Amino acid sequence: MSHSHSNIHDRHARRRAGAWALWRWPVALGLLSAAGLLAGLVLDGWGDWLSWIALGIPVGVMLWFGWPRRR
Amino acid sequence: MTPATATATTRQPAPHRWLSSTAIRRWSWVHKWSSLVSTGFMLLLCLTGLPLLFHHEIGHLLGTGIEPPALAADAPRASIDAVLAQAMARHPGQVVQFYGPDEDDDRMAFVTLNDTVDSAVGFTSLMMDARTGEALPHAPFDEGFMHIMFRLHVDLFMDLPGKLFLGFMGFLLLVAIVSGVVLYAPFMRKLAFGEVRRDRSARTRWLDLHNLLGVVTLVWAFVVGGTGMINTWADLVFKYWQNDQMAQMVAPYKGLPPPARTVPVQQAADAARALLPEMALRFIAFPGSNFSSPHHFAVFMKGATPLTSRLLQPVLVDAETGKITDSRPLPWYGTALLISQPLHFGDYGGTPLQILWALLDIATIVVLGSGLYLWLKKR
Repeated sequence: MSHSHSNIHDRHARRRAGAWALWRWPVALGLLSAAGLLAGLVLDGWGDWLSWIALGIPVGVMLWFGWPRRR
Repeated sequence: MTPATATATTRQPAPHRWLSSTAIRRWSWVHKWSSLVSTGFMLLLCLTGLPLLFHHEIGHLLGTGIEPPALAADAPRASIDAVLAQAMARHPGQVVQFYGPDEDDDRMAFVTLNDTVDSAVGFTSLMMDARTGEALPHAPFDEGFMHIMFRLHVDLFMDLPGKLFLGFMGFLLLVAIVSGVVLYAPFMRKLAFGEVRRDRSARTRWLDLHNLLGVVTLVWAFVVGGTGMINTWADLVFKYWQNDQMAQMVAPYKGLPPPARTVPVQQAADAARALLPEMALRFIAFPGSNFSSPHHFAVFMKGATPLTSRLLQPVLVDAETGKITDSRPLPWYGTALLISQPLHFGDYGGTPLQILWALLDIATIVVLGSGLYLWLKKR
């Protein structure tokens, strides 16, 4: 592999794409969890519903991917 | 997980674009040891925490919950002093340390008595009918299944040293979570999010499940673990607050003899209510007790919104004159402590939030158990 200027740019681009693919779902679910934890505490009325939905989605994701199923 | 000793592809996080193999080895060491040391205690905390989440419901089921008798809905409340008189009549020779309305049902009020007002052990806890002032029968608070769960969860029956020990285990959990997130990248590089390789060995399946549940519960576990750790410092934080703000507020009384006579407690509560009309009474600490000064009723008020109802503002009422000495909102460290309570208990969003808390707790048990399994399998 040559270390030309454009190649370094390619590598940076690939690294970004890899990070995006790896982290987008964990980050999204983390933000959702944080929002859910805070909503019920800070907001009156709708806050409870928001917290149930925002924390319910990560729980649903775990059940969807993690639930044992036959191969 | 030490990649240096890895053999199968399942345990071989190749040197990585973001992490050198040395860095992976070091983070693996941190993850392994912070987890191994704390895992047994974390399993205990997760298991005992599960029934504690539902302590109200379990109390009803076991019949240990306290029910006040049915009276007219608008039955007037007795004065605090009338309630206290009946409590003291049941326990002659004891003095009142604390009084407060029940958090969930204002038809009831708790009274804490003790042999001396400053004693921090051997409390007598009563639940009183706030309308008639009569004591309500209840099972002893300091025995039974839920009490065992509570003590195992809070201090391992070892008071402050037990709390601080569990707090340190909580800190190790946070270290394990952070190092686990760092290791998520090299382990998951070639996998799609949520992929569990079910056609591979049991170890691979559990590794994938460990990574999936670990990364999804990450924020919740970090918040619940972190706030749990903060809660273990509650005694110390309040001690510090007493030496800091409380000492400043009662400084003019330093060296004075204790009050010869005290005003009715109801008068102190009314004075606090008049000062902070938008707030409600949470509890009253009596002169000489741990949360007050020898000269004051410390009337702790709470706010009315979901957030401020968790916060406290003390109003110091001169026990001899009934006049207000001072009142300050809690400093940042007191607020931080009180906010970390609901975030640990999950009791601020009704039953659905309790159930989500329980499911996330169970997911954490699976993460802990699978981590232990992966370590055992590799040895």
